[in-house]
Amino acid sequence: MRRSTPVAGWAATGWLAAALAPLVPGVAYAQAPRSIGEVGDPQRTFALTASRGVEATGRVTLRQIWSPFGVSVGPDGHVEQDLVLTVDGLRPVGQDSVYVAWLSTPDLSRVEPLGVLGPAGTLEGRLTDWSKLMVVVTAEASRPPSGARWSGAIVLNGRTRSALMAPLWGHSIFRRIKS
Amino acid sequence: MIRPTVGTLDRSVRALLLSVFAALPLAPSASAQAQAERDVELVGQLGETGGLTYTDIEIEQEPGRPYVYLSRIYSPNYGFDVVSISNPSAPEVIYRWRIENPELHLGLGAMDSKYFKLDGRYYIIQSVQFAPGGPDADVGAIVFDVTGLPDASTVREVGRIRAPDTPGGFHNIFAYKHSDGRALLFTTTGGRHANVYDLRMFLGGDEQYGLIGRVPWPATAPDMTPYGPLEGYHDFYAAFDPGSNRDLLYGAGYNGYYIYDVSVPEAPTLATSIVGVLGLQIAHTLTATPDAKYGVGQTEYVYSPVRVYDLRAGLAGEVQTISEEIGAWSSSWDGISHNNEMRWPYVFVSSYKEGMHVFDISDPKKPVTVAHYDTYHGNPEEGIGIGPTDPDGIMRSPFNGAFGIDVRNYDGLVVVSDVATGLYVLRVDGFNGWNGADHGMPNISSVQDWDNGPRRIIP
Repeated sequence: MRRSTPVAGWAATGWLAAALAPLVPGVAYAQAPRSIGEVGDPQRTFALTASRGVEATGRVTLRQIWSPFGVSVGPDGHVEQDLVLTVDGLRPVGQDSVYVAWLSTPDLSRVEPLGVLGPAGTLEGRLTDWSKLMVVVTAEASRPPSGARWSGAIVLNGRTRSALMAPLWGHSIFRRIKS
Repeated sequence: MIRPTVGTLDRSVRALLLSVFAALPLAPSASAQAQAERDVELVGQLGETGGLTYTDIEIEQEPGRPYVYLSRIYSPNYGFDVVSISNPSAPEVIYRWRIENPELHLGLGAMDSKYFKLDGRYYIIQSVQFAPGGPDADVGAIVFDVTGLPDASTVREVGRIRAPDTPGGFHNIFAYKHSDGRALLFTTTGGRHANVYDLRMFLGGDEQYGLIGRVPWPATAPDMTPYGPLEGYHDFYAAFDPGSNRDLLYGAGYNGYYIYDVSVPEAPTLATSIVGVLGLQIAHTLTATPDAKYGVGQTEYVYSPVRVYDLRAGLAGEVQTISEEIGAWSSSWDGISHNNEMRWPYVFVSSYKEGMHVFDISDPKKPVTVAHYDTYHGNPEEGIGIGPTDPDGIMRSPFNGAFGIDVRNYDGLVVVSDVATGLYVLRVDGFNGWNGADHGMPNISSVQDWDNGPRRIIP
């Protein structure tokens, strides 16, 4: 009876386990990066615009989630991305007030809170079913309940490049959009 | 000053003369210019400086309602101001409306406003243009009940007219009292058509916002303009023609002007057109004399005069289209005009950086300047941009100064909106009001008789 060598057998098992591991929920694959792309990479980053009277800056980087298949998609087919929001220069708010970052579709039909921010710092989130989106940072009187829309003043806002795509509607002479 | 005689000349000679005409100074002599400026009195002025934010203007016509509506563009000014001119020498802002979340909106904002009256209540319709990528790209106009003015607390938004199939809003609108009694709204869109709305249906909550018809754009290709390819309609004027007993819509549609019979607004039919005019690149605005015999057509680019057209043969069906002007007027050789208000025989023109002009078309082949007021004294280079900002921070553009103009018929007060400096309340010497009957004309202008509708009366 032929016997395979123990070393070769274990090597084959290890390779198979490595290939299959990402497909098994909950299994960490230590050697593959979770997200692809450097924070601030110009190809993946858009700036936030400060509202009038606000002297702060912000930027958002969208990073791909690693997938053995190239593009990471969720069960319903939406592309998954990591979002990294970085702000700097916001004035400290009062004791009970907070800065809150929100995700929104361009037409405001869907708004979800991303999280609470400090005057300077970073916030990360996982996007599972967003394509065109806006990121809005507002000054709120208190941490909002789940599902609520902002009620405070908008201090920073920006949108993905895909949200800026427009049909050839512009018969108006004034094509420049002044911020 | 040299003027070509365009009545009977060969077209090629006419074209040559027009090119020469366009290159020569057209401004009157210095003494005549000074005289023209003295013929206009500045009664009152109001505006916020430091930006380029004022667009069109509308004045209410009833003596007990001294209100002016100023449209505003660019964040955070997206909206309109209501100004009381109960004391014309001291205009006062009594109400401001701004879109919610202005920081998130893209595009120009509030462009044109028209008021209408229905069942004893007064409304202002504010057209807006917001770009896709931000909120309200499908909103074309927002309607407010302003019956309770001057009490600003009574102003309330009654609804928004949406056109999701043509995002980008309505650049211009025209509210019209149809001969059948309906209050209609004609709007430009971002598509190759204009929309027609029944305002009573809209106010009643119609699911289609009162949309009852569409005015087609007959051109077969976009107009290749200095600003890129443009298509669809840019502006409207609607008026009843007692002579032919028709409601006519005078549409400016870039490569030409298209005049539609909208007696049945659900099914507009093309009455005539003005196309193929030598040198005409952008058909921006068309108004007509009260008897519908002559049209005054404006373009919106430098060096182009305002042209006067004889509409009779076209509207009578004797010719397929009108392809030449019979007269022309320009503020100067490098002038650019924007909008006009017809109060025959006078045409009131907003001429951007050259201010407001009035010219007389008693002889439509020989328009003559009779009054002028310069509202703009800013940087001659700066304006609302169509391209990138220069390194010195200046947006070089001709689009600045007198943008909109309106005339109050009962006392002749003229209001102008200047992009940079806001509202000008003016009186033109000798012009104390207008009624067409005083000039042997039907009493027809952009002013609507909301209570009675157009009168089938020819003096």
